[in-house]
Amino acid sequence: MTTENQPVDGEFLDRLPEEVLLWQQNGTITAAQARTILGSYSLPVSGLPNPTQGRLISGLSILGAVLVGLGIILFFAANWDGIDRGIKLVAIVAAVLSSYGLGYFLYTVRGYQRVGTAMVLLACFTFGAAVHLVGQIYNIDVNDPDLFLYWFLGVIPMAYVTRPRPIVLLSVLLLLVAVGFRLPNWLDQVFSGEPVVGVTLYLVLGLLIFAVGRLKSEFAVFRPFSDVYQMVGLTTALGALYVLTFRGVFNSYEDGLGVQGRVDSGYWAFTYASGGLTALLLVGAAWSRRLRGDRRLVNYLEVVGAGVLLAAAFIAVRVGVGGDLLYPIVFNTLLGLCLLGLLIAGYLLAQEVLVNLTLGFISLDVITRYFEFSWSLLDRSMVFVAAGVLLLIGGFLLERGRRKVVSAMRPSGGTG
Amino acid sequence: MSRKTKIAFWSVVAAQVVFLLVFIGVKENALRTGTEVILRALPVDPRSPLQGDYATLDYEIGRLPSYMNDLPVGEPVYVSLAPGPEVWTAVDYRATKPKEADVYIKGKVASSGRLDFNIGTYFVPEGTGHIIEQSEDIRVVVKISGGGDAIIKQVLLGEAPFNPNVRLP
Repeated sequence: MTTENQPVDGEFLDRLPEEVLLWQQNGTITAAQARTILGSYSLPVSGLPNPTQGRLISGLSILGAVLVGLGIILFFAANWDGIDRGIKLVAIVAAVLSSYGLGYFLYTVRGYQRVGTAMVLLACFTFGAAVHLVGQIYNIDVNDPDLFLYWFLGVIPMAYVTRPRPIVLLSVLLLLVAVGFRLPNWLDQVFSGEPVVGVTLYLVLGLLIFAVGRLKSEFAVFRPFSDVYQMVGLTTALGALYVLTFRGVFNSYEDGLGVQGRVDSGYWAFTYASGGLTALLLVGAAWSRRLRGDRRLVNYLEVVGAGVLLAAAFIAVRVGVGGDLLYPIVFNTLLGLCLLGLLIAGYLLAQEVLVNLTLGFISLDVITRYFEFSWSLLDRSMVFVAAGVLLLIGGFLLERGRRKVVSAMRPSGGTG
Repeated sequence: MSRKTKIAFWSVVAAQVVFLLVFIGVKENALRTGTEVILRALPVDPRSPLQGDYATLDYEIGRLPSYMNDLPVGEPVYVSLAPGPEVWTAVDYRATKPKEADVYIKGKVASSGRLDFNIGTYFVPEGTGHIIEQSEDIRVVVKISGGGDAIIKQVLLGEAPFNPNVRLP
């Protein structure tokens, strides 16, 4: 089979319908373009899987894998002790091998790609369970920060080899949890300002994950799952920024105390490395887009935005002057600017998921501020009645606004 | 899956299994070759969502001598041990590896101001942690490697090994 007289290998053609479906789901191409691409390779359009049916199969399989994975962890956690140590260890290794084997068999031999992917996801959970159960058998300290790190290091190469989004998502989430388990060790000797130091790390880490996603989107081979990195990174960074808008987080900054005590050098090494890498990756991604002829302002603004957030994080933790009033004002302003910028970027880049994520955070912030200000000013019943009315009106306005934005983004229009 | 992807897939699986085997091997080696000592402990009884119920053990030898109170959190401390009539006891605390001691255990200063020997967790079957918690005489059989790293072998309640099926009188 050829296209433009160039030979095309069979594996490419086998994979193409799945890839085309993925591009269609990403919004990279429309349904009509998907049909055109398949047609140009003389592939039947029926080869394009039904998106709704595909999503249902994937959703059910992945939900099943997650539930079974959690069930295995909880079952062994509760019932292990009556079994001999040697049998436990053999069972653990066998469980990991057999779940990968079954995933491979379903995916490759039987061609059930969605269920096979779910089984590989289950195998990744089984590996995590295995790490924790070996820890249990040898009474390794329950808060040992290395266990989640081992799990993450085991799953991340599998995410790159197999590339399905659920496994990529699991690996990124494991990184966030692994860092979270490390944090108490790093902040052991901090006796004031702990929340600021901890949340700031997640702000920087979120930006780093986002930056990795942005750079990945520049390479065709990584593009299909770069959006997982971007969305998890953005959600983490915005979540951290949202937490930093609360005055209570800066309680210790009252009387100009700031961060007191010794922050472990590991924290600084990790945070500075992450911050530096974030800047490099975002500049690299912007440069790459410029080379491709994409010179939109939004590409540069994200570099500036990330730079401002990194600087704010640095000042909050390292400088620590300004008291408990200035910082919440600064971070509230930054959150507002970020959300506005992301909304505009989502519109300009035609990324529906970015618009939806931003609107979700805007809603959360509005509800939070409403309760923050009205709780002490109004009667409790009035607070809830007014909140209900506000939510209904807000929901209506948000939905109308979202539809308008999404419709404008789609070339053929749509209802959202 | 292309041939390359298949090879990469099984390489990652093999790496995960090798990692698990090494992880197990290191711990098994510590259990088989370490010096066995018995330490007195005090417990509390929490639960981990991933690993089930466990008892947190705090060791008699974990109390820092007054001359080391200024050591920062995370600093290593080496405790030389000597056998006593019932349990092994601490005979010396140092910030550097003792060369002359036969048996020593490595700990680090925890935020509580006590020493953490990385043997503070003992996993038990669900709902049986209170058996350890209610016991008045808890001793822990520990294997210690030549470098001072310790691993729990067994918990003794009185003279008998901990048995989740036997309730204390």
